[in-house]
Amino acid sequence: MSNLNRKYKKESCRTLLGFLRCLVGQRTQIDLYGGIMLVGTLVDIDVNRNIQLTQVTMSRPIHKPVSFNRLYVRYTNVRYVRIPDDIDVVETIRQDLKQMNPKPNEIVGGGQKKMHVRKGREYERNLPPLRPENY
Amino acid sequence: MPALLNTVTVPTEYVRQQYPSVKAYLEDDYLGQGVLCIAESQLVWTAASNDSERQGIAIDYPSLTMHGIVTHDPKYPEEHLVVVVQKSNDDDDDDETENPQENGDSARSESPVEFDSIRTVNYRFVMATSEDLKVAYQTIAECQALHPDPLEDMVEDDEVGSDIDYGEEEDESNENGNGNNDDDPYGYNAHFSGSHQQTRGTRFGGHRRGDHADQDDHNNNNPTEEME
Repeated sequence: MSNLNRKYKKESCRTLLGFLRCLVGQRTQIDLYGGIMLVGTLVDIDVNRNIQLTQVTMSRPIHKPVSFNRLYVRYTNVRYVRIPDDIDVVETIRQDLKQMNPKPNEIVGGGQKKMHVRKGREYERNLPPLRPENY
Repeated sequence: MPALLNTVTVPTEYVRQQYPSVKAYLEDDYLGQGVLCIAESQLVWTAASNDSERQGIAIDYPSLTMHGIVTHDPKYPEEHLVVVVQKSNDDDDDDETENPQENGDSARSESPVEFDSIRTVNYRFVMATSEDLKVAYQTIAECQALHPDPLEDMVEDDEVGSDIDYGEEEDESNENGNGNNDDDPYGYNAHFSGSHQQTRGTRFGGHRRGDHADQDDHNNNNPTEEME
C-alpha cells in the first residue's frame, strides 16, 4: 500500500485533504449535490476523499430524514464539508504538515538515516582496504 | 405500475460477497427476497426465481451515491443496509426538468446555483444476520474505493510536484540535506525553483511543467508564502 501512502502525502501537501482528515472525530455537516444534507461524526476520509460517517442524519428534499448508524459517501457527491467554528484552519494545516514532514531531529525513535548517508557508510565499508592485510 | 426490476445478469468474476435470502425494498415498495451479490464491478440483487433470466437491480459503483447501516427507522423494524443511488433524469416525468440533461453528473456543473436536477432513490436490503450486514457494508465500501472517476482536465499525479520524493514508507526525513531552517521547514524552496512555482500557481489554467513561456509573468503569487 505504499503507493497509496505516497499519493496521500502528495495530495495532503497540495490540497486540503490532510486538513480534512484532521476533522475526523468532529461532528460536521456535509452538503451533497442534489440538496442532500448529512450531519454526522467523521470517521474516515480516504485518499480519494470518500467519506465515512457515523451517527448520521440524512435529509433529502421532500423526503423524510433518515438516520444512519454508519454511512459511506462517494466523494463525487460532496459539495461542501462544513468546518466546525471552533477549528483554527490555518493552525490545523500547519500542524498536519509538520506531522507529515517532521524535521529529522523530531522523529520519535530516531527515524531513518537519510539515503545518501546510509549509502555512504555502506560504500565506505565495501571499499578495498587502504593497506593490504599483511602490511 | 412501472417495472421496478430489470433483467440483470449476476456477475461471475471478482465477486466479493454473495448473500442469499436478502429482502429488498425500493423506497417503500417491497421487491421480494433474493440474492445480493457484491462484485467489484457492480452491486447486484436478483429476486429468487427459477427462470433462466433473473429479475433484479444492478447498481454501478459510480452512481452509488452512498450506502449505510440503518438501525432505527420507524418503518423498518430490523436494521438494514440502505443504498442511495443516483437516478438519471430521463426516467422521470417532465415536471421539474429545466435542464434537459441525460446525466445527473453533467447537470451539476451546468445548472443554475440552487437547482440540482439530481435525483436519488433509496434501496433497502435486509440481510439475514447482523454480521452479514456489517460485512456487506464494509465490502461495498471497499468496492467503491476501486471506482474513482477518471480525471478529465486535471493533471494526473505524476507531473506536478513529482520532484518531491517522499521516499519509502518508513522514511520520514526530509530529502534536503542541510536540515532546513525554520522559514522553510518543509523544504519547498529547495524543491520549487522559479519555473515550478509558476506552474503551481497556474496549474488549473492548464500550464504544464515543461511550459516556460510564462516565466516573465510575475503576477503569480509565491505559493510558499501562503503556507507561512
